[in-house]
Amino acid sequence: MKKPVARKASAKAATLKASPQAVLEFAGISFSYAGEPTLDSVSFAVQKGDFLGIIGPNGAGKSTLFKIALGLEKPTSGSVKIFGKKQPDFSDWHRIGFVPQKVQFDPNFPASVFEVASMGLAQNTGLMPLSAMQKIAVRNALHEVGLESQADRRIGELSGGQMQRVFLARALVSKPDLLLLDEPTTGIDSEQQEKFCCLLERLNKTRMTIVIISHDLTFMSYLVNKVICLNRRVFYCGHPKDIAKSGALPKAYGHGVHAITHDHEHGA
Amino acid sequence: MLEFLSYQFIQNAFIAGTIVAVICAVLGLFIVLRKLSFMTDGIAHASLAGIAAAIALNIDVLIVAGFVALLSGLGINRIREKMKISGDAAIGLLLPVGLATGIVLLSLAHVTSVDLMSYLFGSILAITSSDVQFIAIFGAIVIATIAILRKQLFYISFDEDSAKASGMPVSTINYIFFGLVGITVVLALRVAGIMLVSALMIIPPLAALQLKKDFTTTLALSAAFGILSVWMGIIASYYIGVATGAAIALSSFALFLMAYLLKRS
Repeated sequence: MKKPVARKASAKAATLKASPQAVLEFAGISFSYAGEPTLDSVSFAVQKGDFLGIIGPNGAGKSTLFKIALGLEKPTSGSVKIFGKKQPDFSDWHRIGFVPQKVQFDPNFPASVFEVASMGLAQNTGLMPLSAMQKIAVRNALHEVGLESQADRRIGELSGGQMQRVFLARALVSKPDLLLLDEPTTGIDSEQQEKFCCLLERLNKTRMTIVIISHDLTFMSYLVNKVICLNRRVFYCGHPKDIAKSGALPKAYGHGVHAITHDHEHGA
Repeated sequence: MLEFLSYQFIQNAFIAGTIVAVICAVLGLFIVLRKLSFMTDGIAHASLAGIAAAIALNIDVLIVAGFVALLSGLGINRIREKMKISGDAAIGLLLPVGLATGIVLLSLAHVTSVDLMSYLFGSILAITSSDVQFIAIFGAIVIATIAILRKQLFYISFDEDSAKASGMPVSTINYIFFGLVGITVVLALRVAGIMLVSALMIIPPLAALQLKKDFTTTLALSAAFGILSVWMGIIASYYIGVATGAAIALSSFALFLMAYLLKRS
């Protein structure tokens, strides 16, 4: 994979404590599924403008963290704050964009690319059809992901990478402040991956806070400015270039895992 | 040739049939897309308990059957959500219970098969003006609710998990949706009957889906196929002298085949 545009290091110190700038805070989150502990006292905060990656082996509880943040699962203990509000009281859902790992849908589903992207406005359009301004917002979101010309095609006719970009457009259409992506590049080719990464970098430069889950350590080291290594609990929280030295990877993944890190200062 | 339209019972059949065709086809598209096609049959069979109770107690069949169908729709969603049983299994659980309850009630009340035939196979030509009013009022409620929730229903049908993650009150919308299906099934009973209700709710959306259009167009096509099925069925029934419910079911299948062949060619 070609390297995405190098970014200047802006790593702040690992942030486990909440601050007034925190857009997402996990405090002592524990979660069990069918009696099996999935998360154990997980605490960290995501600051405004962060590009944070969450890595960890299968079953580490990465997706569960997103589900808890989005209110799809309830933690057994601990709490989540979104934009300073406790999760159950949070209602400004248009401020969050979410791209799931794999959208399970029938390829014959009768929906155009435009209609799928406009689902991102389904919460606030009511009885009336989309207004001219809302249609422009959908077009702009599709333009942002490079698919404006495909607006009238059926979603099932697109490639996997294009579909993921449509789901990103759906997440972007409400102009969110926080973007959550759960392994968005799984199963797409390297060229599409690279386009996707460049797009995310561009969005982060507009001060959009991004949290991304990925299995791909190398991919993460190119892309993010802060990384969390998770396997039921947090093993590392900090700049990606320091993760190898920290010794967190063998602890979280088991021995035999090495990180090939990317020097953000030199882009090499 | 059109003199048959001057008969009141034919006019009632066309008006009631058209309303029922539209609500069945529109709601049916969401049912097909959510892979719950079996649900219409499940609720229709479960509503036999209400029909039997109403016949046995000599009270209004549509109201009692409607109440039972509404409860069945909400019950299927409740089982699906709370007991973590899949939609088709929840329907499979409820269908025999409703059907068996209906048969037990009918046996106890010594109801003759003649009383039941119109509910099993429909009797659109026997629809009265007060039936038309009943169907028009409840049909308007169903259509208005779908119009208000159509974007949310579209999102949930496409990707329920992402709809939940967007903060949408998916559970509440699902209860409304399943309740609407219950009401619609009962409205369709007089037109197509318990055995053939899926001809109105499932086949027109399937025909529309063959043409591979966007969602808005597919919704309109589904309603158009539903209306055509009912009109063709009534006309065929009048001129050929066959059972109307069956003629409507066969008309909808003919339209489905036509749509399929049109797309292939």
